[in-house]
Amino acid sequence: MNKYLITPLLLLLALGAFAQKRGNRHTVSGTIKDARNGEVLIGVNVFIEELKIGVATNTYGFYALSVPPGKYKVSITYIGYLTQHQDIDLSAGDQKFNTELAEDKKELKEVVISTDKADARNVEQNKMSVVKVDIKEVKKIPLLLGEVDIIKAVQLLPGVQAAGDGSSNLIVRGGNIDHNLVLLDEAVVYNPSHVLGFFSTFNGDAIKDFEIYKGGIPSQYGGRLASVLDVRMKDGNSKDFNVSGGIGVLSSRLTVEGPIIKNKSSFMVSGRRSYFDVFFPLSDDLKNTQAYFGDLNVKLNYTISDKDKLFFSSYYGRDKLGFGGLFGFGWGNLTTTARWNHIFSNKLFVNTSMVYSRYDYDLDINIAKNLNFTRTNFINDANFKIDGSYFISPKSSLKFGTKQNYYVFEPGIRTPITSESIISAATLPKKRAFEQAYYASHLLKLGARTSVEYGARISVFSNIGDGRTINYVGGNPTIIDNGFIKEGIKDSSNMYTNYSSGQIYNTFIGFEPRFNLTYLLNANSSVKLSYNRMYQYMHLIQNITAATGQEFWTPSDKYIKPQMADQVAAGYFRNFGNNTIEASAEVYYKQMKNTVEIRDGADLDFNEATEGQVVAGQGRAYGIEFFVRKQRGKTTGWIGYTLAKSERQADNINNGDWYAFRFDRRHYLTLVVNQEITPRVSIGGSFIYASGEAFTIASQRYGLPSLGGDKISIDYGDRNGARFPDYHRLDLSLTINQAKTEARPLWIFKKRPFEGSWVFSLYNAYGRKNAYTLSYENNDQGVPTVYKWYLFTFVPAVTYNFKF
Amino acid sequence: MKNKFIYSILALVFILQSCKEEIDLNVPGGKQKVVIESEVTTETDSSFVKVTRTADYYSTNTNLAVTNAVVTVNGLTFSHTANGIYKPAAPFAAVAGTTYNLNVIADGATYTATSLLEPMFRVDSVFQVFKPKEGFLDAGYAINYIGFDDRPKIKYTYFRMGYFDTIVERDSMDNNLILFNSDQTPIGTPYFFELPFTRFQPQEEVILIFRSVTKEMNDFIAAYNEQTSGAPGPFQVPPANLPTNIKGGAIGYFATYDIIRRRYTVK
Repeated sequence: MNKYLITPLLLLLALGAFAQKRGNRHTVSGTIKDARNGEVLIGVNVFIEELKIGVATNTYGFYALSVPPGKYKVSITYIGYLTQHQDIDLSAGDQKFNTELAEDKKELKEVVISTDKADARNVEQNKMSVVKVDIKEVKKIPLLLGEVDIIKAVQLLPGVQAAGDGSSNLIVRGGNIDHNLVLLDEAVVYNPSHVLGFFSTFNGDAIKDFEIYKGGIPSQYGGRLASVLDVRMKDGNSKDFNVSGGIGVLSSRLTVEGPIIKNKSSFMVSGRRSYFDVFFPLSDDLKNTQAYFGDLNVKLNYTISDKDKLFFSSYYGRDKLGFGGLFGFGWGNLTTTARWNHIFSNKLFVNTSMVYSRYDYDLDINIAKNLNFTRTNFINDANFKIDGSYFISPKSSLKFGTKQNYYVFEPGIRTPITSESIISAATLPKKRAFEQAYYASHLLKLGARTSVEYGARISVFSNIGDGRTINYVGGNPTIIDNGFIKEGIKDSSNMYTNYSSGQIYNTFIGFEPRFNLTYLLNANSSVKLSYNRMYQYMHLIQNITAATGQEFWTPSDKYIKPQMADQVAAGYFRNFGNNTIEASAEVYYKQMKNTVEIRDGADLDFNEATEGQVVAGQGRAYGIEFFVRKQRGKTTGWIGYTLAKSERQADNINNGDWYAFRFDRRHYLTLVVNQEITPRVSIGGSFIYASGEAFTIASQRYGLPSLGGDKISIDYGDRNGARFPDYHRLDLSLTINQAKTEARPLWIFKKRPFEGSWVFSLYNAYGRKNAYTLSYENNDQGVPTVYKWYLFTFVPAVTYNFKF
Repeated sequence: MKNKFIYSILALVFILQSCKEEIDLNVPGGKQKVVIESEVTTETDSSFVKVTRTADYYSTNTNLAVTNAVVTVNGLTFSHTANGIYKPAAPFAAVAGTTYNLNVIADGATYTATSLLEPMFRVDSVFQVFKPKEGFLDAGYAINYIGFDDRPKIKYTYFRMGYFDTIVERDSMDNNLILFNSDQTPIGTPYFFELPFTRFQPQEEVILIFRSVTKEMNDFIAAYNEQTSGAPGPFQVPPANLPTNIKGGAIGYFATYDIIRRRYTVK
């Protein structure tokens, strides 16, 4: 294993040597918080006017700027907050400057015409293909059944789309569903969906901040090819107790937060549960039916000193669907993160985390006293990670870190429910893997116009015993039989190779260079370039569209090689109207190798031979994205447009020819608008237009009456060779804020400010019957017919939100 | 007990929540192919080979039978009877444990297939058990059988159940259709098995048909059910052509069945 450590350590040492202190400099550093609730603010711009240099706070609200000795005027700016100016004297030595920003109420009245540097971030920051949406904006977007859903909001951004109408699965720049790294407080959420994917696991009330990387992915992230959705939970109000919540059509939610020790420690607990199952007992047919989801977010933090802070956060979510006691299934995510922020010096910030994620599903069949079983499947993911930031100077900073990950995959445990059941107990062998990652990157500003960040991530992935692999005749887990891909023939004389506990039996090493370049053309515009290589060692095996929980994750191994992607992107970024309007145009090209394609007729049901159900393919995706956004004033929102193409190829699929990726959409246009009519009333709307997704069209029909009577069988043409009708949808919302009052909402509280609001929404306002899928059937007269299936038309919802 | 059965039920729920409408989709015609549907069984006179052709999707052409093919099974000639169906001239019953070879010459091309006729397990008796209403199942009698299986390796069974059946009227037998394999049932020990998701009322006559199938045929039927189940929406697998064990470019299957039938009248 040592050889795997040498290269990254050398890289770190080299970067460390480069990072030696240059000249006589003093440092101002600190943490920026929200004055209202004490939450640390991410991405706040700290700017020294005299030197025209600045830095943004990191994900823990920390910043550091090292400059020549002197007296400076520092401005602290953040969209939606009042700008602060502070004189800092760095003549004698380093200074610590912590501060809190107050919300800017005036900006809503479109009075402020700001030239704050913070507003120029779109142009200046050395990042591209990344979008951050304020959670307050998300709450204004009309969504299905009024549920606040960050994933649905993300799907309105260019380059990102839903995997089917209503789905929470993301398709980013032509990537697969499993090519997205979804993180909640650094923990991987393996299935970010509720209710067959129609809602996401993220409760908007518990979320502080999120951003999505579609490209130019920094070196601290790895493990997925297409994107990173980095979601941060609220820390909890450290100043005052707050209760907030909402009562909706589908579910209700309640969040309680407050200080444990004022300004030192706080908590946040946020829960949500659906209640449509409450009405099932009223129906004879549904009284034994289960259908619900629920989730709970908990966060605690404790400030030990100015230099040390501890965080603990956890998420637990569960879905359950059961029918008549005969069968049911459920799935859930559990994530737990313990973090320690330590400021070693005013230039060196280090975050150390212990993270645990678990995703499991269960399937219950209980047909009869002697015919029943439960089947479970799960993945455990435990990791230890260190992330450091070293602020050498305002023009030079380092990021570095490591992640040590241990995975246990439980592909299937089948257990009879009753002792009389004829279904035997069985367990598929566990799989274990260990993944190490080391990364370092250096952000360097060259002169006044150029910023460059270069770095690399080295990932090492190993299968670990105890475990076993299946041996196939000729070493081929799949074979071609009569033109069809089939599971390979197991070597009956030597069926398995067994590995002892702790034995490493497959190792893959990935070198992942990352690069970002920004060149400022002038104060309002810039051009950017990025490149990233990503390796993915975990693969989602799924043969149906829905997130039913029946899909499972499997590691790279002897037969399933790591997926790899290279992406290059270039963009032009321009702000207008004194930075009130941000615009960008980006082109990208992505190449994917070893994509995991499920073969036709795959048997994924309690089958150890996963490798016999998949084939390796390749993919390519390219396109151009336009994005114009206005975040200030009475009218806010954005327009996004994507022109793109995404294709796949695999031997023995589609005659080996390239074919359209299922979610390849040539055009994707989104429009999101929120208009404040009065200080208490606003309306919102979102519109999507998308070219139809690809599907495989019938070529010929025939019948096999001995098997299926008059049912139609189809001989298909080229894979994904045809298109669904175009997709378009308009959603509307009306928000009415009640006048703020003083009230005693519960007997335990004294009289306190109470805020309430009504949100009325209409999903698919003009009732477009967007095709979800097609079917080939005989009509009532026995004539072959094609039917379009569609889901949601005219879905009204009302939600009451409150806060006190 | 395949997941797709669950998906079929879920699809039912989905159907309740979704709508469908006919669309005018341009379905381009493709190359016409020969379709061979062939079964060789241990029941006398039930073996047949049906040779037809595919049609463009919207075509109203019903004259798709191939009536001039040359068909043999292990050298035994099957002659055309009607509508593209070929049968042996003399009474014929296949034998379990035998490998059968199909040879069809049609439209100038030769199509071949091979299949081992696997033996069935024993079905010793059938009985009924009253069940109250459960979910979407009405109260009624569930049908059980007592089975005994001493076949050493995993074997596959294609089971159909219905209210009545004759060899001629096979199409009536799609009331219940299940595939299961012997790794889920005990080996070498008698067991009873409740046939799932059905309820019968007194005086109703139930027909149970158990057929042994090869894994290849098991997979074909599974794929066929998936393609034709009409399970739309989130539970739909990507569209795919059916596999076939017929070589030469034809569509369809060549199946060999050891068949056990049980007729039971609910008391």
